[in-house]
Amino acid sequence: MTPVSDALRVLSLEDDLRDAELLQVCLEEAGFACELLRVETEEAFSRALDQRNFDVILADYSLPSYDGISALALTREKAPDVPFILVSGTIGEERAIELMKGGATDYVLKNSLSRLVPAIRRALDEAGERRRRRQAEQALCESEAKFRDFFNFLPIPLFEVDTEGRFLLVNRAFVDTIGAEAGDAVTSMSAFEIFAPEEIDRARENFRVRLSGGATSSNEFLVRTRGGALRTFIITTSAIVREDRPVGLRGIAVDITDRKRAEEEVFLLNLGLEQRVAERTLALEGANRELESFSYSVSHDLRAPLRSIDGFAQLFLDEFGSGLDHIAKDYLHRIRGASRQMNTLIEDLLQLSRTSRQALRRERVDLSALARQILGELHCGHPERSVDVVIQDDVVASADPHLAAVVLRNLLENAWKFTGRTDGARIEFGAVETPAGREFFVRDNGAGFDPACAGKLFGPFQRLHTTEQFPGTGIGLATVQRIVRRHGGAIRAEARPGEGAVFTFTLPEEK
Amino acid sequence: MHAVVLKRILLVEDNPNDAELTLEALAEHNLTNAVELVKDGALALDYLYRRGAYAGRPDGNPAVILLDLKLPKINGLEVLQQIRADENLKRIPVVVLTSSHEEKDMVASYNLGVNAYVVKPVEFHSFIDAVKALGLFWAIVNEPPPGTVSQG
Repeated sequence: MTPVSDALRVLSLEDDLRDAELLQVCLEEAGFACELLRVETEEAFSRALDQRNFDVILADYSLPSYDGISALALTREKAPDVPFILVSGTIGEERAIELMKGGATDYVLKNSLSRLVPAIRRALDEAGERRRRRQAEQALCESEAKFRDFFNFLPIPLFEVDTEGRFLLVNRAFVDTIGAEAGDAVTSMSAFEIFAPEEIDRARENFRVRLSGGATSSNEFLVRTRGGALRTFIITTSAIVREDRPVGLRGIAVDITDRKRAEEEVFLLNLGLEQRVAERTLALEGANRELESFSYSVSHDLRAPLRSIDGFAQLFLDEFGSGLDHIAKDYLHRIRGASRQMNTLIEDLLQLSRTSRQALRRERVDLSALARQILGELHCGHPERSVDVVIQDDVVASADPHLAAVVLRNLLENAWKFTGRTDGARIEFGAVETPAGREFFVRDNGAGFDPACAGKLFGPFQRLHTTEQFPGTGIGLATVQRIVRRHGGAIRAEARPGEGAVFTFTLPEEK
Repeated sequence: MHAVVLKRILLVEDNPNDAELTLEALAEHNLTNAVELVKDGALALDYLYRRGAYAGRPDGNPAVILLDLKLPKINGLEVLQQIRADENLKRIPVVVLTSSHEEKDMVASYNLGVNAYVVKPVEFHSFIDAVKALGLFWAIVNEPPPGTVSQG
């Protein structure tokens, strides 16, 4: 760009070859390295402008087939920044003025070429200055366009107001969402017109404080939007300060209506949820109370008739037995048997229901001692049986002692019962450590069961053997499972018919 | 046994079948005649306070009260509570004789100072044995508190 170091590119519109050479000599003598292209027709001049950049154009005023005025016009069109200096024989003052008005940079008379070099220097300086200014303007323009684009692309309303609250500038989102009534330009509005009537005083006060205070602040306002609907915005503003004086506010308005609504919905949902939980709890408590009074009644009232059935059947036998044949006696015995069976059922059902209702009181329970005691009692009840009992020592668990006893009693009584027809009966109790935690087991080598039915085992009233084979109500294991689950544990059973069964359960420590 | 002077037993039982079976059991110790049967809690209190239908009964407290819990009008626990709150009645031995295993009832009864809590067995022989043992102990073996009147 600096013409002194690089060759000065000169376009010379000159029909006289010697005059052109003279110009070149003149420039070189002044220290310019010079690349001079001489043209003498309109066509050549135009082509030269199209194809190359020049630092300066030196044009003769009159040529055989072209003229300096036309060349100036063409230059202003094709290369507006290139200095255009007319180098000519005598031209009149009027002509000269016309040329300068047409945009010529200067003119030099051929008979005083000493002016040429200073004229070029000045023209180059001016051109450089113009170029720099234009580049700066362009950069500014680009920057402005960039920020204007951002300003308008932002989907959030942005605005500027003056000290009276009149809109100075708003972005597209502002027009689209808050906008103005049809036909009105937003900029003719007062900023306070956008607020809901009841908000205007607060908005004015806020505006005043913001103008005098200067710091940025955010406030929630109800704003009338373009469609007329009222929506909630958070409006954040800060003062625009020029020479220490606030000249307006600049701000951003974020529509939080949906967010607020969602928050309210969540709040209401939570409220509703709490209410529903309370209602359910109440209903559940009611159901529990009902269940409790139901089982209380069952416990009292269902057993009394059984006692009468059993008692009077026996009295009948006692008092009239001698006159009865064996069929009549058998019927009476069956009546008594059925009433006892029903009693056991009621007992077991009550146990099952108590298992769910009673509060869980955990403590350290010595399961080994418990198992030993239960098996001891079973042995007392059936001294004729010989059972090999293997109990692992010091198996303890964190459990409700009463419920743990119910679990062990049911499992051990089952083991005792189902080994009743097994020679060399064996019952084991113990615990094993597994990756999933400690597992307790009750194992026997009795009748076992079909593994395909293992899933049914823990359902109430599910029995895998007939009452004739092994008596029972089918409630014991349901009770056991319920107790284990209430402790957060699980129970499973594995067996094969005729090869015994093993019940494995967990009683996880309370967290 | 026949030589022993019988003491009075107050049996509070609304179920006539249970009452009859109880009497049947007590008959084995020839205690049947000693039993005064009342069919609800209100009558039990009438008997004890000698009022209403029992205004004319001889003076003195029974040697033992066999008290069912589920009773019409005034339930067994309320009867027990009134007995224990009364200066003249509070020393009478009371045995709860009930169908229920309810822990709640048991705890409430003992809290009110019951002397024994017996769950009536469903099985006849067990029932007979239990009531016989009760009759034997309370009406024959046990020395009742002063103010108890013997019969016969």
